[in-house]
Amino acid sequence: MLKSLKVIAGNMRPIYAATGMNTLHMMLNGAPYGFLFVVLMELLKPRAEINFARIAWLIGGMAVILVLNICIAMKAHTTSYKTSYTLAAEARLRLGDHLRKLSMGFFKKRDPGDITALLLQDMAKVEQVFSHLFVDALACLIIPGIMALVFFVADARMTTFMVAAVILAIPALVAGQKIIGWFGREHILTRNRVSSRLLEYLQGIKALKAFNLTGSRFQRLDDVLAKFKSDSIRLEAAAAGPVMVFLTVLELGFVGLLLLGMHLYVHGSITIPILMIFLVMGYKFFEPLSNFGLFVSEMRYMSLAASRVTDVLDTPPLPEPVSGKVPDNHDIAFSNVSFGYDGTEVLSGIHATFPEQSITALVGPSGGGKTTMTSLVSRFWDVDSGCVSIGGVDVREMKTDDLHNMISMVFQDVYLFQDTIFNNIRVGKKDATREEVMAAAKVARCHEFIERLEDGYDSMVGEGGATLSGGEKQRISIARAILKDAPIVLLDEATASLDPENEMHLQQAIGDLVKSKTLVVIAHRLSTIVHADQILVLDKGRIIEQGTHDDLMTVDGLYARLWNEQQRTKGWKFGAKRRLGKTGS
Amino acid sequence: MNANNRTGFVRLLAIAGQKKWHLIVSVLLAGFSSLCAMVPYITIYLSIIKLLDPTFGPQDYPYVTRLALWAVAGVLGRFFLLLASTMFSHVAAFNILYGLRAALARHLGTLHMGYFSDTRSGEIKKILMEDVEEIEQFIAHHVPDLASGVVLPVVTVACLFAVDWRMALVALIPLPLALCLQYFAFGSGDRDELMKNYHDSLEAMNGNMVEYVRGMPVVKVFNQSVNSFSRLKASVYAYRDFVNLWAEKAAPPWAAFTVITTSSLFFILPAGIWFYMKGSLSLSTLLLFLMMGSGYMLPLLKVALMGGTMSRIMEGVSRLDAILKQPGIKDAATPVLPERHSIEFRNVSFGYDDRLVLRNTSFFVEEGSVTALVGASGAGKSTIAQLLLRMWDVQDGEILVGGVDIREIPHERLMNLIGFVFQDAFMFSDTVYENIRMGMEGVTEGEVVKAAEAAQCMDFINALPHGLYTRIGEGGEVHLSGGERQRLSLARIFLKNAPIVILDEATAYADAENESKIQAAFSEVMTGRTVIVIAHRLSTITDADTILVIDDGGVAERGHHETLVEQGGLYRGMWDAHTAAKYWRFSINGGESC
Repeated sequence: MLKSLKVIAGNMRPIYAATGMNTLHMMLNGAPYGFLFVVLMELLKPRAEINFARIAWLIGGMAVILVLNICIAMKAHTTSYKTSYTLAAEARLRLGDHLRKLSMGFFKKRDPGDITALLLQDMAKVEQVFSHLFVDALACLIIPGIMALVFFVADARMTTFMVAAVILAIPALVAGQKIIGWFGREHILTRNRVSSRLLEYLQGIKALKAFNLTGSRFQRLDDVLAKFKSDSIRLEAAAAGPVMVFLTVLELGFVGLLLLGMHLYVHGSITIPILMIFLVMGYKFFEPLSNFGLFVSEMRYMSLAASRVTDVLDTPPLPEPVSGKVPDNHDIAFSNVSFGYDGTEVLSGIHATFPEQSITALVGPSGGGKTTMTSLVSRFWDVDSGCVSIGGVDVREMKTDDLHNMISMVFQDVYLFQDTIFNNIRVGKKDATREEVMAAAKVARCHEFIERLEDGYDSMVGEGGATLSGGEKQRISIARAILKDAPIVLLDEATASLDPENEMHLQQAIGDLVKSKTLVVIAHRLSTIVHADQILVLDKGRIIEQGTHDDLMTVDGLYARLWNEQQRTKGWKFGAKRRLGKTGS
Repeated sequence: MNANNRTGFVRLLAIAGQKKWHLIVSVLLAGFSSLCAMVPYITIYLSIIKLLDPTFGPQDYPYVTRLALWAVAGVLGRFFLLLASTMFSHVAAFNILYGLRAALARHLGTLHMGYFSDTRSGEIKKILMEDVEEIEQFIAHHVPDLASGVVLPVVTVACLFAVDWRMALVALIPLPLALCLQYFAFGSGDRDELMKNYHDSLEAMNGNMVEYVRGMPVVKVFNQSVNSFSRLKASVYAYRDFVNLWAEKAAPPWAAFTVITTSSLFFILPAGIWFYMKGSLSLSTLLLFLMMGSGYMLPLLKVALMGGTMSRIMEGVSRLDAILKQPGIKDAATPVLPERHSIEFRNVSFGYDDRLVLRNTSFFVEEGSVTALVGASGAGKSTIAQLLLRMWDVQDGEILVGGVDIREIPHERLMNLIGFVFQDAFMFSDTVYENIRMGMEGVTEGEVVKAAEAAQCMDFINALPHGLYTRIGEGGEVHLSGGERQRLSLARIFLKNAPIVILDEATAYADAENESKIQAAFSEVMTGRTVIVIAHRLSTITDADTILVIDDGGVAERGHHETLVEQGGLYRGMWDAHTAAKYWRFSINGGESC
């Protein structure tokens, strides 16, 4: 439990400082009872022997401590909050940065709702542990510890009994910890499923609306909400039982102490003052321990969240070279590359070169491995065997940041941030001026429609680009890539949602831009890539044909077949069948 | 769930009131538990009296043993009742949370799309998850704590008064002090403002985190580290700074408050010694006060500390109420069912915010015909389709299906009439089977397979690792290509068998090798249905029965392909550009090749 907290905090020293401060505060809280101890010793003497001056001094001391304690408590409160929330903020950013360095495989395996829960809910639990639970729990041990020492001097038997009661209660606490660990894990999993389902519900709301599936008719969300309810109740019931047993045993220990004291008194082996002190102050011994039980149970649950965070922090990022090499040209080469997702091989034994200042087109049936090839160039994943290199340098020997600076990429699924259009384009170049952004937008053929928007470039885009049409989103993402002006350009179906007019202008513009670049195009519409310098035909993870359009047409293989089929279906139309039907009848 | 106008604490009570009986039982049990908690103290007091009695001897053993048994019974009773109370309050709480979440989700489903384009999913998620979760604090903990927080101090103080009223008064001194400080700590005027900021900063952080994770490929390839994805960093720090500021503001009164509440000893001891010396207070009574005089403050402390979390909870409640108050799509009082499936836009005006997208647009689509909407992007094509689905409501004019205003058709019925294929076919992370079924009840596997066959999906479905039962979508086993997703969304339409079909730029993803299959699927979908096609590839719609050219928020031209080309208007211009573009191709030399 402590280990995961340490990993998240990075440096525990501020936490210890805050804990020290809080312990001091707790000790000052308990200090009056120390004074009370002495005062009682005094009061329980025969009346004539009582030293009143001493009592007056002690009470004066208590006043001083009271004031001092307020100051310390103030400091302790702010310190523990500030340290914990500062630590958590840094940890969130560290976790966020770590996520960025992980292989895309991590994101493919986990639901985005689950990953965001790490950064939000799980980290919120860690915040709570840092800000009070940890500190409070520790303080709850320190006070009884000190008391036990003092008491031991007063009466060893009574103290031993008290400590024995505590030891007797511990199994219940341990059992509770186990149960919380067990049910808590399930509870957290369900909670994250709720997050995932909810995000899915919100992001797919259009489709759900069109299928009448919103609200309780969206069974999947409702199911997981109901499961969350029953898991929550179950966790509460399972955790509350052992905690109550723990508390009961402690409290019974106090009653037992009373009985033991009386027994000893009757046998004359304990004096009234000592007995009184145990009875009056014994409560102060058990009370923090009861609280400790509650805090520790809560902490156990929260530490589950913490260990989820550390599991991710422990996931090794894609390895970074110590000193990155920088290639002097931008030829991309695949040598004997094999790669698969979770055991299913997607690429096997690929040899290919995408030379600088040329266009390479990747074509073939979906699932053939085209997108995977571009993902390997940008090192979203690392190859299983073989090597992908740029200018002769293995991509794994370059700094990831350097590598990504070299690459402009337009994805099949465009993702825009909820921000202004201006800022969304500027993602391509952080310090771009307004003029540069506009110039890129003009090339990407989106300047016109942006200007037509009410706020022009300052119009807000909905999350993921929700307020724009597919073609508009695609053009903005192209503008982003153009602004970046990187030597390697990877286009994955970059113009698929554009109308032919825009597509033509855009492809002309891209054609102009890439004269000095390495351009890799994934295209389904073969007519757009007939003039590529080389065409690679991928099928089932292998390059089965390679060459120019004319070469491939003479080979008369898969490419020629696809080409002919497309030529044939090019004229397909909505409503065609109906027309046929009409003429037939 | 009625989101009425009650706010703050009253609203919170109304929420808790949904499980009134559970909570009443819980409160009663908590109260009795507190009473039981008193028993050990009373027995100790009584035994101290006995012990300090000079006549104490073996004859008193049975009495003391009886007292000890009472104490044991008290302890057992206390925790058993506490456990029962806790369970009652938690069962109530989690049921209420479930109800609230389900109600929120249901209500979100009735909202117009505008709400979703303005609000990020991360922000809504925060309200449904975190803000609702906070209510658990109130229902499951605060309500029973309130009971013991009232019962225990009242009974203690009453007991103390019965034993010695002067000492009882002294023991009460910290109470008014604490209440004053509590007010300053949590009740100061700018509290609401602080709470608003707290929630705002938390929402911003949630929204940014969700975007950061979802946009990960973009984040990676554009080197958007957490430092340069500045909004993320800023919102994380804003949240931190807010909490720190709050801690700093609350620290002085809070510190004084906690110290004072545990300080009754400081008042009791001098006074007690004074009375003891004067002989008007027995030693056993003084000891009783030393033992119990500070105990009553603890549950009270709990109640007082609620103030801080309470205002946070209440702000959260006001946020979820804000969602519930968003006007949803309302069904007409007297629903009308259309018998035919023609579509008519009659003088429709509509805009997002202030920007008018459709201006007084009118057109008629005959039942069973194919109508294509063409025009520049932003002209309003998609808006027309979305209005028909009531994703938004028109601002002026009306939309009729089979002669009936769609606002008079029950919403559920309208959705069953219309099948929609979106540009971006959204796949839920579930099996292919469930993604086609889309929650339709009473559907057999055979029907799903038939729909998948009609949409030309079976060949790729069969190639999946678990066929129809392969998990797709985010976190799924396989990632489908755009064309495959599109065909699945066509399968949904076949299964739904709606008489009206809207295809929004649906051909965008046509895979090369599958184009003929997709064409077959589309032709199948359009047979015998009223079809509206939003197309950007003009060559695909030349056979449409009617082509509507949308320009600047209205229908600029209408007619057959041939007539429109002959007219030489807007459409002609588009057609010429289109035919020129069709033969264009990627080349290193720019456009020269064609």
